[in-house]
Amino acid sequence: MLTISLRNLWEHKLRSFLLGGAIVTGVAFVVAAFVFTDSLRAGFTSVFQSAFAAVDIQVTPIQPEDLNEFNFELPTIPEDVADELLAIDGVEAVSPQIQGFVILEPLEGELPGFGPPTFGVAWEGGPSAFEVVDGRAPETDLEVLLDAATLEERELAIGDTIRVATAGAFEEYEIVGELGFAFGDIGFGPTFVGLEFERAQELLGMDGEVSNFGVTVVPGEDVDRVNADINAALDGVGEAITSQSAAEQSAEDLQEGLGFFNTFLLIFAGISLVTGSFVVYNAFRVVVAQRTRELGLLRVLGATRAELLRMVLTEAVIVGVVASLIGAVFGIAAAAFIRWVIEFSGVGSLPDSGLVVEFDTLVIGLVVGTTTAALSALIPAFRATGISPMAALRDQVEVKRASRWWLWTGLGLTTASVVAVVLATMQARDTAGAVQGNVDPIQLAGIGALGLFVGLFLLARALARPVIAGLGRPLRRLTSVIARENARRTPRRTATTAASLMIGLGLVATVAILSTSVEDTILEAVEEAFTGDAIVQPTGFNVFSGFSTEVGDRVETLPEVDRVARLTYLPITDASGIPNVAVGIEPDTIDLAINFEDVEGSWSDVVGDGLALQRIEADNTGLGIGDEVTLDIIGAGERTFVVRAIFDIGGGVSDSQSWYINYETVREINDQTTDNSLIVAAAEGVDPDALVEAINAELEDFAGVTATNIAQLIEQIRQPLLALTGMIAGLLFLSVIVAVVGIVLTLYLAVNERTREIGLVRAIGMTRPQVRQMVRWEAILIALYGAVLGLAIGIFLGWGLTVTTIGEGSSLTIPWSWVVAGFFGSGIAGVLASLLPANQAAKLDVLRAIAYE
Amino acid sequence: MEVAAHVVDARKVYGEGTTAEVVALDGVTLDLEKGRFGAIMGPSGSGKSTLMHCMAGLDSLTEGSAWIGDVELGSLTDKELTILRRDKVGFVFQAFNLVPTLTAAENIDLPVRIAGHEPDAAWRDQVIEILDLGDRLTHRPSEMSGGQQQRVAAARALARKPDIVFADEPSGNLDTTSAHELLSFLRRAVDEFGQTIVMVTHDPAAASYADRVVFLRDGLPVAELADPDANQVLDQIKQLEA
Ligand SMILES: Nc1ncnc2c1ncn2[C@@H]1O[C@H](COP(=O)(O)OP(=O)(O)O)[C@@H](O)[C@H]1O
Ligand SMILES: [Mg+2]
Repeated sequence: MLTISLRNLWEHKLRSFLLGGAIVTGVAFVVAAFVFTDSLRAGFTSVFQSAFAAVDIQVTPIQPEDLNEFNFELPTIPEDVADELLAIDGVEAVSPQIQGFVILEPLEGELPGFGPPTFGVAWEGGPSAFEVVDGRAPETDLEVLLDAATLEERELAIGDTIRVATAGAFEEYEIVGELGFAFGDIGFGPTFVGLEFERAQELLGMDGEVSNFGVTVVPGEDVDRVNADINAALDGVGEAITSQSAAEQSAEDLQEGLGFFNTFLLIFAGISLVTGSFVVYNAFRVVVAQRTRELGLLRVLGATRAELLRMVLTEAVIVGVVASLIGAVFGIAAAAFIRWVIEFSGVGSLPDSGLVVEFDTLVIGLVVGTTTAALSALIPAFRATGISPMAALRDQVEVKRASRWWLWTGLGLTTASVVAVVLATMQARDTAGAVQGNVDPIQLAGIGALGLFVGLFLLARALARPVIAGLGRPLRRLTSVIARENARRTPRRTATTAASLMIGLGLVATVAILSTSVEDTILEAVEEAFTGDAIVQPTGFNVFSGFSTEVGDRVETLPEVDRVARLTYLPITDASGIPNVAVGIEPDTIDLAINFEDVEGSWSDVVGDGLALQRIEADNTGLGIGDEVTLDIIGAGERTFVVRAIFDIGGGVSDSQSWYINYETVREINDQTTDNSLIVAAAEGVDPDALVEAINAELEDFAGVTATNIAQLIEQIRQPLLALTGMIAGLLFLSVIVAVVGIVLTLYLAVNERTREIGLVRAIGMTRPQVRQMVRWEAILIALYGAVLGLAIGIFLGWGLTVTTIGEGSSLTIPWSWVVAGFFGSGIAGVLASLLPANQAAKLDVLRAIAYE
Repeated sequence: MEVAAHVVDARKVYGEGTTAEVVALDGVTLDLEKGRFGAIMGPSGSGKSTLMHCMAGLDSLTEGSAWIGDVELGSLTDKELTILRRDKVGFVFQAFNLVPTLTAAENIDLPVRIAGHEPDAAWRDQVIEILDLGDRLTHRPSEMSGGQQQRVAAARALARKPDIVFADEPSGNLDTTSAHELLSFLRRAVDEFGQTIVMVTHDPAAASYADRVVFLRDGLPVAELADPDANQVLDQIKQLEA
C-alpha cells in the first residue's frame, strides 16, 4: 500500500507540489515565529548577562510607594549602605553607581525632548557594567566620557569638547575618554555620558546618595545565599537581585516590546494553515473523486475500507512531513530575513546571537504541518472510501448537498460582533453612564473584533458570488468576464483564498486607522489647548523637570514678547489617590495660560488656599464651589484647599491637568525657584517663527529649555509616529506574501482542473496572451475580493476601536491613501500571483487537453 | 469546384526516432470542396482524428502540406494558427464543447467575442432558430441535455460563418433522436447556407447524411463513396474489413 501511495505522489508531482506548498508556508511562519523569538530571547539574555557579568549581585533602592510619574526623580540609596554590604559574609567588593538624566547640546535640526533618554553615569572603584575603553576616567568636574555611538554620531573625538547640562545651564566639558558597556551597543537604547563620581552626585542632586551598588561575591561562595543574606540585612532600605535573574528579567522585558511581531507571525501562520488546509482538502477531493473507480476496483478486489483510508491518509501524511521539513527550512530563513528587515528599516538593532533553532520548534512545525495535511484529507478520504464498491465502478457518484451550517454560524457571529462593537462604542461615548454594561468596553470591542474576523471568514463563502459579480461589473472584455465567472463558480475556494488577504488587510487597516486617529486626536487636542504664540518647555527626557525662573525673567524682557504666563508644577496625590500635579497659575495671566470655557466662580479668587478645578474632575469627585479638599503634596504633607473656580478646557482634553492653585502658593510650599512651562504672547506684528527664534537665541546658554510654536510642536509629536508607519507597511507586506502564496496554489489547482476547458477555448481561437489574461483577471478578482472584505472590516473596527479607546471627542481619521494602496496593492499581488499559473495555462497542449478518452 | 481545405502527401509520425514510432498518416492527399458535407470514416486508430487536427491547424504535419483556402498552415506561427482557427474554422468535438460557466448564448458568441467583434445578430438568430434553442439560450451547459449541448456547439461553430467546420464524432455520445436532429441541422447548414462541413464518424447512419464519405485505413484513404445511404456505407466497411 505504501508503494501505491508513493507512486501516486510521484506520478502527480505538480499536484503534490500544490498540496505541499500551502503547508510549507504555514509551517514556515510557525517556525519563523519561534526561531525569531527564541533567538531574540537568547540574544538579549546574553547581552544582559555580559552587562551584569562584572557584578554578581545588584543592590537597588526600594521603589518609593508614592512614586509619582510627574515627580520624575530616580530613587536613590544612601552611600553608606556600602559598609553594611561589605560586612556581609561572602561579599568581596561593592561598587557604588550613579545614574541620572542629563542633556547633551542638541544636534543641528534635532527636535528636543523626544527620543531615547540620555543618562549621566558614574561609578567608583570595583566592578561595574561600565568601563573606560579608551582615554582615561574623568578626574575633574568638567570632564566626560562618551560612548562610541555618540562620538561617531556627533563626529567627536577624545580631546574635543561638548556642552552638557542637567536642569541648569549648559557647561562645556572636555571629552577625556570613551565609555564602554559590558553589553555592547544594543542600538535603540539610551545614550550614556560618563561623569566624575562626586560631580555626578552634585549635578544630579544625590548628595550622600547613589543609584545602586554592584556587588561581587568571594569566589566559591553561593551567590544565591549571599543575595538572600543581603536582602535580609537591607530590610526596607534596598533590595538585592542576582545578575542572572536580572539579565533574564531584563531580556524578558525588552523582548515583550517586540512580542507583537511574534503574534503577527503566528496569526499569519494560522491564516496560511487555514488556507493550506482548504487547498489540501480541495485537492484531495479532486484526487479522490478521480480515483473513485480505482478505489472501487481495489474494494472489489478485497481491500477493506480501513486499508483504503490508510492509503489515502498515508499520502497526506507523506506530503505533510515533507512539506513541514521544507517549511521549517524556509521558516529559519524567514526568521533571519525578519531580523534583517528590522535592522535595515531602522526599527532597531538586535543583539547578534545567531539563530536559535530549538528542537521543540521543529517538532511543533512538523506536528502542525502533518496534522493539517492529514486532517484536511480525512473528510474526502472518508467519503470516497465509504461508497459501495459497485457504486464506485459506476460512472457518476451522486454528490450530497453540503450542509450550510457555516452560513448561519457566520451570519450570527458577524451580526453579534457588529452589535458588540457598536455597543462598546456607545458605552465608551456615554460618559454619563446611561448605557450600563458589565463588560469593559475595550474588552467588548476586542471580543467583537475577533468574532467579526471569524464570522466574516465563514460568511465569505456566501458573499463571494455577489461581491465578485459587483467587483467584476465594469469588466467588459471576454477574458475578464470568463475570469469573473470562474472566480464565482467555486465560492468556497475563492473565499478561503481571499481570506488570507481579508485577515491580513483587516488587521493592518485596523491598526492604521486606530493609530492615525489616536495621533490626530492628540494633535487636535494639542492644537485646541495651545494658547499664546509660543510655549517654553524643558527638553530632555523629563518634561516635568523644571527650569530656573530666570528663564521667564529673560523672556519677558524681549522686544518680540508681549506677555508671559508662568506655570509651575507641584507633585501631589490627588483626592482620588492618584499621583498627579497641581499646577501653579497666576490669575492675571490665566487667559494666556489655559484655553478655558464656562467658568463657574472666579479665577481671581484662586489665591492663597483657593483652588480651580476642571469640570470633569469636579463631576468625578462631586466637589462644588466653596467645598474643601485636601491634597497630599509630595514632600510637604497634606494641605486643605477651597474650590474657587470650576471650568472646562477647550477641546475637552480629559487627561490634562485638573488641579490649579496659585503660583505664589506653590512658591510658599516648595521654596524652589523653577517654572515648568511658559506660555508666551508675541508683541504685535511678530510672527510665531520669529518669536521662537528670538526666545531660543536668548536662552542659548540654558540647557534643555526650548521655545516652540504650535506648528513645530505638532511636527515634534508626529516625528516618532513615522516609525509606526514603517511597521504597518511591513505587516502589510507579510499579509500580501501569504495571500500571494494562497492565490498561486488555488489557481494552479483551478488551471489543472480546467485543462479541458482551456484546451477548448484555445482550439476555437483564444490566443495564449488571452488565456494568460483570463487567469490573471481571476487572480485579481480573488485578491480584490479579499481586499474589499479586509478593508471593510478594517474601517469598521478602526472606527469601533478608536471610539472605544478614546471615547467622546475622538477624531476618526481614515488614512485613505493606505486604504487605496491596500486595494490596489492587493490587485498587484493578484497579478504577481497569477504569473506562474497563467503561464501554465497558456502553455497547455491543446490536443492533449481536448483528447477524449 | 472550389476547394475549402486540402492536404498534399500528408505524413504524421508520432514518437519519431523512438522504438514506439507510430505512423498515423502515411502520405494522404485529399481535397475538401467548398459547400459540401464530407465524412471521414475508418476503424479506430486509422488516423481520422489526426487528419482532422492537422487539417484544422491544431496539429502540425511531419511531412507534406495542409492548406485552408490558399493558406499553407505549415508556414504560420502558433499565433497566426490560433487566429486562423478563430476566424476561419469552426469546431464541434465529441464532448465538452462548451465552457461550463457561460450560458448557451454566451458560448455561441464565444469565438466572435474572443476576436473582439460584435456578433452578427441576424445570422446568429437564424442559426438559433433552426436549432430550436430559443428557450435554452440563458441556460448553462449543466442544465442542458447532451443533444442540446451539441446543437449549441454546432451553432457556435457556425456563428462566424467559417470557411470550414470540422466535427469529430459530433453525434458519438448522442441517442438516435438527438443525433438525427444534430445531423439534419448540419445538413441544412450546408444546403441552405452553403457552409462547408467535414465530419469524422464511425457510425454508418451518421455518414449517410454526408455528400461524400472517405474511408481511411492505416493512415491512408482507401475508398470513397458519393451520396451514400447507410447500407452502402455498411457494405463498404464490410468490404474493407474483409
Ligand atoms: N499524441 C499521440 N502520441 C502517440 N501516438 C498517437 C497520438 N495520437 C494518436 N496516436 C496514434 O496515431 C494513430 C492514429 O490515431 P487517431 O488519429 O486518434 O485515430 P482515430 O481517430 O482514427 O481513432 C493511433 O495508432 C494512435 O495510437
Ligand atoms: Mg479519433
